[in-house]
Amino acid sequence: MVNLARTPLLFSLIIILGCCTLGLKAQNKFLKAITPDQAILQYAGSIGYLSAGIGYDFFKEKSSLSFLYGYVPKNKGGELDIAAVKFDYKPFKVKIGNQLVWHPINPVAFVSYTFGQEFGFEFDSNVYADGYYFWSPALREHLGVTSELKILGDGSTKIRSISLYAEANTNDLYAINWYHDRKGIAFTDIFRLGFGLKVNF
Amino acid sequence: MRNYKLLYLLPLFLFGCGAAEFSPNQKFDSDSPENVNATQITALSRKTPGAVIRIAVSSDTHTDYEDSRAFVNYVNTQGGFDFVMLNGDITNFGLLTEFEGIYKIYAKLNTPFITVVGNHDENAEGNHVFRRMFGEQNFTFSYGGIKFVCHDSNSREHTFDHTTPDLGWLQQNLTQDADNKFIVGFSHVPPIDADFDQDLRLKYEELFNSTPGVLASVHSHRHSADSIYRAKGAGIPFIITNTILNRTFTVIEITNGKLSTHPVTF
Repeated sequence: MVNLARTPLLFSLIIILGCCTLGLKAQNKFLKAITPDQAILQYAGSIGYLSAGIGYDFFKEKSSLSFLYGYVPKNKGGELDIAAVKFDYKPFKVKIGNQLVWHPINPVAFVSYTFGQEFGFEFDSNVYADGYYFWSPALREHLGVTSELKILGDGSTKIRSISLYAEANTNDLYAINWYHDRKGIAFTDIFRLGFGLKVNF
Repeated sequence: MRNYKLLYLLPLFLFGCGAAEFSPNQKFDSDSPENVNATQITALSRKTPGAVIRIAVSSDTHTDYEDSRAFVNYVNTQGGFDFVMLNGDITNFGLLTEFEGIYKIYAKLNTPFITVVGNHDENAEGNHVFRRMFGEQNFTFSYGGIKFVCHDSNSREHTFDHTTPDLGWLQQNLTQDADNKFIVGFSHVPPIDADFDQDLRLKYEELFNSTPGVLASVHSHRHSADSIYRAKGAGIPFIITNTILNRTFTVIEITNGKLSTHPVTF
């Protein structure tokens, strides 16, 4: 099941790589467009023990869209493979000296998909009537905030800057549980942390 | 600008409260308890049974922490219970954080508590989480000359493949022995429910009715007032208890092989 689920992902990767290797002049523009603005490595944050991916900046670097693949090893909570797509927005920018930029509070939304047999996109319709269980075990929708500190480079290399960030997120199921038991569950109890590093090109 | 600056502190506040998480679906984290049922059964074995065995049967807490805390407080204040049963559906989505949430609340009971698996607890990685945190889903323990046979009756979660409830396991374990003259069954989904494998229902009911010493089979799942039925109108009582969501639990009293029940609202 895991391997089957990975197949489309691998397939699209091969296509992208294939396009890259052609390297024709006409495709230079396209290449530039698909060359990521960031490489990302993240610890925890509900999408793996470690996750890695690429990101693209939008709206004068106020927003970014990133694609991550996360993995939880067996000894860290059971083997899990997770794919995630993240969108964040950085409304504030605080310059600290010449070298540092702080984005203090950035809303972030992401979806995560857990691969594997236990995680159908929806429940088996042969066993469960429509609406018996309303959620998808595999697909989670997350909301959160990040705080990001950007360390600027001196411009001598292709690496323009390096960002360190912390992220607090919750997901649809945690939020539903909180909503139904607001007296019993503290709002802050439904948030989970992650920490990451971005290399900005 | 000043207002913005206060806003800057919000993430810092959340970072202070939260914990790192690898996935909502992870099977354990560094704080997850293990083998809770075995620990609780050992604690129970140290108690001395009186002439009357009193059991508080609670069920279907889902993630209602407020009412679960109220139940724990009630039982601790009231006293007089030999042990507490938690008869399944202690989560909504079978997630680790939900199991841990209820465990932390029930761990404050001053009597042992034994946990049975419910259908919601078998979603996603719930089966793995349950087995690691609580133990086997089919298990027995004894107290005061009574054998308690706890088992998985969540047939729908096993796609009605005729493996659940496990009749072979039941035949082997639903038995009297030298120390235990009486038997009480505990499982989440009652045989009369559509979530119970109806192809196994008659055999299941017959097994309970034909086994000497069986006093009752106790179920939950339906979130409704306590009810009792007997297969074909005779034989042992199949008891279906209420939910903690309704701030109700069921007291079972067993005296000399005679079993009686009554609901308590707290």
